[in-house]
Amino acid sequence: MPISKNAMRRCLIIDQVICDRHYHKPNMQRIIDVCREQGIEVSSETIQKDINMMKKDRPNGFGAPIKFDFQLQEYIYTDPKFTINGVKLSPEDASVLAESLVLIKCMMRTELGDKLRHAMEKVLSSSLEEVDQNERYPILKTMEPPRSRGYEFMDLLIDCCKVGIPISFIHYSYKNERFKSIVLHPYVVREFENRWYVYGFSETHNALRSFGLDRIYEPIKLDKKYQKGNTRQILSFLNDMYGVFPLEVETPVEVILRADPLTTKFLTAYPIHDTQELIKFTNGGAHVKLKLIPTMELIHLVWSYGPSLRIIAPDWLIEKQKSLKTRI
Amino acid sequence: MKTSDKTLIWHLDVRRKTLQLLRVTLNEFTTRLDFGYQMDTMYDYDWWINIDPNTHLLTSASTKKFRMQDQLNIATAPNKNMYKARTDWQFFSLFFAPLPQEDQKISLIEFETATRTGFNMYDIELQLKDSMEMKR
Repeated sequence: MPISKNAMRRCLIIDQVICDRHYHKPNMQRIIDVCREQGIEVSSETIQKDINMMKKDRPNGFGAPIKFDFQLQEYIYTDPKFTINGVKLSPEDASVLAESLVLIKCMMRTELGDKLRHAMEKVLSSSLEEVDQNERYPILKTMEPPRSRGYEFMDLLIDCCKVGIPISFIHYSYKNERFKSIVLHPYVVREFENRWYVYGFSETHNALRSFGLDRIYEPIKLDKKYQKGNTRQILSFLNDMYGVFPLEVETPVEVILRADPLTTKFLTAYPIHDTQELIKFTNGGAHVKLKLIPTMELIHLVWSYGPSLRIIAPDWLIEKQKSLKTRI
Repeated sequence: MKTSDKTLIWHLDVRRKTLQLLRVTLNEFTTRLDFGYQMDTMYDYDWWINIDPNTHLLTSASTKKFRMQDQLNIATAPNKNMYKARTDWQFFSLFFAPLPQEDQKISLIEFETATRTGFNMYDIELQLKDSMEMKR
């Protein structure tokens, strides 16, 4: 039978009191006092029952080697390394990890994410805690987009990046409306605005390329020599771009945007890139200076603000933007 | 017939109108052909595709017919995959009996007598030297 939420809280307190024996004498009074400090009114009988339950083997208890030392009049673990937290976590540590779980659940809905979540839940011992789904709501909430096509390849792609295995897959280009067989030496799986991409060296293009996972079909691991990536180029892909599809240049250049006063406020709060500098005008508008590799996504971002944000420099990017405008 | 426990992969780009044969995967159990299909303005009514259940492969390495055993993401006739827009696309795969693992030319035959809309493709070259091997 799972342990109730309240019993779980008391057990964690008992565990904490016994482990903190160097600071306070771990006796019944100390346990009751700590419970009170945390807003739990409890009797010594309840604590005794909790201790008996903690001694039971998993899954009914924790298999805790608790013993009452009559000579010292205190509770001890006969195995001094034992704790029901698995690792000794402060309440703050446990709280931070619990919040991280929310992020992991949102961002890594894959087998790897599940494993990581499971591992963290084990660390927190919360797998034994009875959860009332009706009472629970997340106090930390991220955007959770519906699972997209291609997500099912995430574990395979991460594995190939980690171990260094080339892959064969079929790619469909939305723009060109064409399929292509690709041999890719994958380096990184990257998320950008809730879309996932794999980046690596494409033998087919003889160049570094990103491919949206939603456009990939049937990836197969190849028994082929893996071409390692250049760390500098990979870091540049990760850090020097807003987005994943570069335009024309492969090294960062200065890009200047002009923002109206309202957009300037938003860009002050949410900078486009780490390199962003704002040169404000007296009316509240600004020139937004960026040092990055211009991308399709940067142009899409500018378009998303309508006339409130426009590209001032470089000239070739202004021309590129004009040429990309399509009829809907 | 030559077979081995390897899985060989060929990347191809054989086109018949807007049908593309993209990859052939071959091992001792099956021959898999991966296709991409892009809808086209030429079918301005009755936008659909399917595959005839009698579709087979012919190879220069054997006199046998290698019959279709299974398919993925495509309906077999008389069923149809319907489309709604010219921009729709489909990735699908056809599975056949295993071909010999040697240099050969293969033909995909949906209809013995070629039709305007059938998925027949002829003399597709599969050279062992052009193949890649799947990692076990």
